[in-house]
Amino acid sequence: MTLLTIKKPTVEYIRPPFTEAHITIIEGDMRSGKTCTATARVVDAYFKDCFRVYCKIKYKIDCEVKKYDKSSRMAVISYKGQKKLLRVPVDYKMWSPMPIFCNYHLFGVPFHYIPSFGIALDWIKKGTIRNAYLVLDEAYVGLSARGSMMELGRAFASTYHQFAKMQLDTIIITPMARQIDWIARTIPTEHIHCSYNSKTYKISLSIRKRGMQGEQIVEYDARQYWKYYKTGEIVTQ
Amino acid sequence: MADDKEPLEVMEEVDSNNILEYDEREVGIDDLGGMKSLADAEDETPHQSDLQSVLKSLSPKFKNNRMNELLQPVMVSRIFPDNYLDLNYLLVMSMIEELEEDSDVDIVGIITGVQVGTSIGYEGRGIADRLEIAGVAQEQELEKMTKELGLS
Repeated sequence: MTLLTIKKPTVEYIRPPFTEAHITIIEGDMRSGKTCTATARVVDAYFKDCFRVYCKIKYKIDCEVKKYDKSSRMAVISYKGQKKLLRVPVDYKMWSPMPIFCNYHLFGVPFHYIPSFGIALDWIKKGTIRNAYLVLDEAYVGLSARGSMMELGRAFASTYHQFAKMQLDTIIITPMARQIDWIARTIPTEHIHCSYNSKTYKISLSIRKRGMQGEQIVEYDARQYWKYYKTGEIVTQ
Repeated sequence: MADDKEPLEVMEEVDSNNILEYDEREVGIDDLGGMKSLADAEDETPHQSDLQSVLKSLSPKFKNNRMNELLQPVMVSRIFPDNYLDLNYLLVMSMIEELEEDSDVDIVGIITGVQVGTSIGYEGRGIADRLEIAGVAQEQELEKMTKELGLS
């Protein structure tokens, strides 16, 4: 494990103010692919942003990256209403200033490790966690329904409804929503339920979005994301 | 290593823009190129409401364009029992005659398709089913709104 000091970014991670909260809750039984799904969400967003940075540095353009394929290093971008297909050279090190705060270790993408839920709260209150991706695995450990009236629970409860103002893409992972604080259960704008097929290595997601009827059924291969996290990492505090 | 440090030290690191970065893990799997990422899979899958899913299954699309032209209106029409068999016969014969010169005519496919289409429109069942489903969906929506407003 190495601790790298990354220079101040030359390209900033700026997003327009959120028009709605981006809070996702991921539920599912043990070994159903919850952490893999959260990792996939973050990794995909990170590499798309890497490509945006590449276009900014190389072509001096602000474009929107529609699609990025990690194995071929090719992307579809949208620029001035036109779609273009571009490839990143193999010797270019993909990098983005997109901040990721996560309470488990990620591999292959730079991130801030959150050692405990107490520290996550401190960072939220101090303003350290802003305009970023925030991933809280095993959320019932720190945001437990039973401990919701304890100091940490009450302090967290006072921040939940301001996550959109903080420009946070939050992902809360728990086996069952009932296990986490009831206010935390009311804030998600997206609800994902996972299931894993060990024969095909595919994770199926049932995605329900607030304000939209029905659901979206999505299936993806879990193996492509195994290298980005350790499935056995335990969250204890 | 972040694990060995006191929380305070870690907090200072974040403030000074220090970020952890590890190499990708070795998981013993060769290049898995060609797989759809989660982001792509999400973009390419439509978010359908329950009503949209049911309506889609109630109005099947056929491979043959001519069959679609003839059978889409049939499915939302009212076929009277006296006309049912005649209409079936006419539609099947017309389609087979149109494809007469083709060497590979799927007779069973045509008969089955026509049978599916006309049975949906039989006595206006297709319209009745759609209206029933739309009514249920609206009732559910009203019920949900009532609950949200605390009126029930």
